[in-house]
Amino acid sequence: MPRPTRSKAVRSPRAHRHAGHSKAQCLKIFRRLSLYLDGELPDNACEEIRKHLHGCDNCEVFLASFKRTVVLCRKYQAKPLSPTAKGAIRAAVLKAAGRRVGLS
Amino acid sequence: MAGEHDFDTIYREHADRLFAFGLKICGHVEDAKDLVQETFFNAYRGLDRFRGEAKMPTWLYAIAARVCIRKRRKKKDAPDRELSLEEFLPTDEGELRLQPIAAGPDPEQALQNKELKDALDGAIQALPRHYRLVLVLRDMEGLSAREVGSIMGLNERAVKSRLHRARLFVRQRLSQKGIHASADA
Repeated sequence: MPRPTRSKAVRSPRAHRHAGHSKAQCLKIFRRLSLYLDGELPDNACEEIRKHLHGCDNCEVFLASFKRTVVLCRKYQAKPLSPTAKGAIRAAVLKAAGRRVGLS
Repeated sequence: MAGEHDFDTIYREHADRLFAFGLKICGHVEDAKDLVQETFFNAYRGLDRFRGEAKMPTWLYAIAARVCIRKRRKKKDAPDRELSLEEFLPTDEGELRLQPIAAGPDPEQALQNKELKDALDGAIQALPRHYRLVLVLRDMEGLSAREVGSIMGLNERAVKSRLHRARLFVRQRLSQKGIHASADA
């Protein structure tokens, strides 16, 4: 009977892929994740990171949540300025500047 | 002095953008409105000296960022703390316990979830201000690192360093809130 698979989030530390590399290598990747995500690393550095991710559950899980965080920030929409407030601010600016408040 | 017509065009085209920026930086509607008002007042006064050295939005963001920084200095709050990379380092055990944040397919849909949106708002507001400005300008307003640098008086390397720490901070806060992959709308 095949053994049931477990999600990465609950696999024991001993079972996760760590392909013989050191924590220092993980840290090196960690420091460059933003540059990697933003496409600002040269090809050889990207390839080094991809190889590392293939062999490291920790970093792969981390990158997934890091990437998601960046995407959420980019997609975030703030509450819009109401037309009333927009008009009121314009009037206040022009008043403070000592100009007549006319219709635009 | 710049005509009202020029100001009106600029105001009409950019007020919403500056309000969105203000809301993300200040976290409160009234503070954001104050920021918009003060920014456009300063812009109005400086418009005849503007020679197009920067794009209009960049120029306005620079004014708004200076307004933010000046307001903070007036409040005489404790200085913003520096974020170190070490505080965000994942531990083997810790990382395996944390769920990936909202790993569903559609980020716009994910952000319909109030819990996630509130958590993201909270995380951004908790960021020290000089990191928040960089994250908002770069990731949320979509400016380039160079533009952010010109606004903040930083070189690109410093912008990217602050951005990385800001992203790590927000990611950690969301993870600590236990925002799960199947966040429902």
